[in-house]
Amino acid sequence: MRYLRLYAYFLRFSFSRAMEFRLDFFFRIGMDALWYVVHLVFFTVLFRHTNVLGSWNFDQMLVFAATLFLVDSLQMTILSNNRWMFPILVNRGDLDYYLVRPVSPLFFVSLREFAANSFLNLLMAFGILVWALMRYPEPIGWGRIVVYAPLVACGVTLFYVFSMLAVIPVFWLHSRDGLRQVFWSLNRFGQRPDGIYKGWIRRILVTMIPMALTASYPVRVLFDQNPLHIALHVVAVTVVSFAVLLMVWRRGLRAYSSASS
Amino acid sequence: MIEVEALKKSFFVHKKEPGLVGSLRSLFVRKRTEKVAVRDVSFRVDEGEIVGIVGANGAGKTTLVKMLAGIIHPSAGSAKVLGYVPWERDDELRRQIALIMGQKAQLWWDLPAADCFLLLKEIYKIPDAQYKKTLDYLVDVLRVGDELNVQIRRLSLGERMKMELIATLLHSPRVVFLDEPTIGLDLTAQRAIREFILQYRAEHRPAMLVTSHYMEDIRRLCPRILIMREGEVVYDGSLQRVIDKYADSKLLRAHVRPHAKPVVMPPTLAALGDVVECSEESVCLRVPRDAVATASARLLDHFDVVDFAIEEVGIETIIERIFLAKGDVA
Amino acid sequence: MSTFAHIVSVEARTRLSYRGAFWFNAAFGFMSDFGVVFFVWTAMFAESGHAEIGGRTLSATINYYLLVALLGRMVRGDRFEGQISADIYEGGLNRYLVFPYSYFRFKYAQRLGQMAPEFLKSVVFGVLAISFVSFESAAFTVGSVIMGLGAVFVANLVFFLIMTIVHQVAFWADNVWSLDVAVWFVASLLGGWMLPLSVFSEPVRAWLEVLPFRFLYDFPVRVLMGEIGAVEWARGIVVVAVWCIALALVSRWVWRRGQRRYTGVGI
Repeated sequence: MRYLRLYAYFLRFSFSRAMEFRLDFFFRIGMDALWYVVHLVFFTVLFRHTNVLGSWNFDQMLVFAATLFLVDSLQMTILSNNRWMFPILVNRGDLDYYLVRPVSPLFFVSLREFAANSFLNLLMAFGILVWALMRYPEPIGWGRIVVYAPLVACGVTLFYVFSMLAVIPVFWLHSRDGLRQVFWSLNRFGQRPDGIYKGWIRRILVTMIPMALTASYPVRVLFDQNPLHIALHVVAVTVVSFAVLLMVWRRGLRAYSSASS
Repeated sequence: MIEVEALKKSFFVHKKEPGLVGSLRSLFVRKRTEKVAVRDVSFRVDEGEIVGIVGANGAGKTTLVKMLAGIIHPSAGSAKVLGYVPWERDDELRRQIALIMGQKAQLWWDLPAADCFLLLKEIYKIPDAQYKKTLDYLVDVLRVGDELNVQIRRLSLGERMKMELIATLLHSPRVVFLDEPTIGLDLTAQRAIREFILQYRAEHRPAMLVTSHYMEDIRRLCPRILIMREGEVVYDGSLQRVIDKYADSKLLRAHVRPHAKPVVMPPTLAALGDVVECSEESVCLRVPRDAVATASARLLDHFDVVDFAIEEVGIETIIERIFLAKGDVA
Repeated sequence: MSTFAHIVSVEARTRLSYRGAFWFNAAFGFMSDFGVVFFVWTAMFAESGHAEIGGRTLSATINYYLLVALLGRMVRGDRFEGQISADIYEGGLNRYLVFPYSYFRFKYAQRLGQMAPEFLKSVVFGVLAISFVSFESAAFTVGSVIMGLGAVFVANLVFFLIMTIVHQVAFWADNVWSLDVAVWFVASLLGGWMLPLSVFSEPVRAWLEVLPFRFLYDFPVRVLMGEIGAVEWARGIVVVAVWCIALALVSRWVWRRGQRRYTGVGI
């Protein structure tokens, strides 16, 4: 409860701040909107040359793209600024102040900076998703959508876990952005339907580095034969990944508190 | 309230070699050197006591404070703050301590102070009534009522520091760590903050540890000081005793008429005492206390003196001498 | 040594002294960039049943993307370093304004210096790639490589000029990184980075012909692969030169107006 109230403060702060930089506000909305357009064009152009890609047809691909946008807009609003700030906090030593406070430092560094200016993109992405689901020619069924929604949350959580795992090494490396670039490279795999990956790469992408689970698997729940099986898989991987994050975080903090002066 | 026993902290510094080859090599082999920041430090601080930690840059002051605030782990030794081991970071402890670092802002730049304080109220679970009372008191004493709703980044450095102080003391901590609380401030602001700290101590009786490079801070705030040198506490005791012991000399300052030759040539200046300054227009000598009278007389005899003064050696000088000295202090 | 050459060399040497993480990031980025398109296009060809898409076979398409990935950073440069907007915000511009040397020439020299490690990377990864992937569909000749490198050089200049204009928006706005990213999205889609331009429909391609973006990736890669002959290459270079002059003029106009806004304090 207290954490929810704290988060309410974060939200309030970020909205009041967003109003300060109006031009940037629109740039950022425009940037993400453009990202959606670019991806829609990308898939549209690909489907000029094929009817199926990664075993999905164009209508399914649109739902996938919309899910991708939704997951991305969620992480852009909730997480992106924090991920950007984190190495700065560590390298400048500002983390010190979070450590002396009676609140989980991980909560603080992960959620402090809510990006109010991406909030409109969230609505936009949600709109695209509703549109993509509505225009889907066959009925999907509410049961599947009920399973799908929490899986999108899992997708965002996985995104969070792995983006944090990419910046936490800053504790040891003291570099400007840790392994953030590695994370972005990996994330590219998640931006394409998982059906195209084969062999051992596929196995890695659904387990150890579960980029295929951030958007593709939730969408599979809508169209596949065996949705519950997929749902359980996603939930299990999310739980395990989160546990790994907590473990690495604890080690990172210890490194921070024994290496700095 | 603070008990420190044989506390030690050392860390390793990697040496990176420049160039492509060097950076490739450092992937595999890295030279590390151990650096001892704090060695075998023991002391205790009681309720209502303000203790100053004095030392040159790199003497280990900040490291010591950070260990006691629970930010970093020690390499050896033990410490208790309010009965807790600080680096275990128990919530109950963290609710009762506060840390302020003059070189690092804890408040968020683009928010007005009032918003930051509300967030802190939530973080420290301060009850409404107490929050209002404490805030009113702090705002009143520091005279920042008008600036509460201004974004932090638009405040002057002095005002910002006052806000930082309020943020630090909002939850009425029983132990307060102040690391360079007046750094970069002008004299008026420094004085205001010092007076406030004293007043706060009188009314709340917290245990306080203060580090500062401004000796005036130490002189005004801390009856007791710890002097650190290369990680060791070389002196723990009253400030006055150090002054008495090391202020064994005085400064003689004479303004002489320019271009006028000395009435009588030597004894040279050096024979009278340490020459601190010597130019065409003025002379300044450090002279042992018992030789002040003779040296003054000689100086007045030999030079065409316009103006003459005998001054106490500054506390900075005393501390500097202790830093440079070897062995125990007192 | 001229001042320009001196700046280039200092920047290049600084860049080359990067740590191991830099190489790791670069290798990883290259492999995943290429890995994703490899899977996308293998699936495209398999599932569509076509032998050619956009006039290229699977192996030619793979070769196209491999070259795009290799040239990628040589054209784009380092997005995070030495940005003009950062100079404007942080007041670093002051330092350059008092130099007896043109700011943009200075920036361009720095950028060319930055290309040194990118070039080195491209060569290293290129050699590695050749040993794993066959370049059977690319008709490399001495001529195509020379003309291709020329085209890459010009592509780099075009990118520099575009970003110069974008980053000068910092004179008016508080933050332009999102604008920078947005422009990159457009450039990557319309420049041949995401898709070979030949897979777009005819009318779209006619539009892409008149925009400068195709010179960023599509043009240099096709020159390298031997798809564009000397005459067409020369014609392309003339067109892109006109574009460069136009962009430089726009940049100069923005610079004049921005200077009037510049307060010099930064932040």
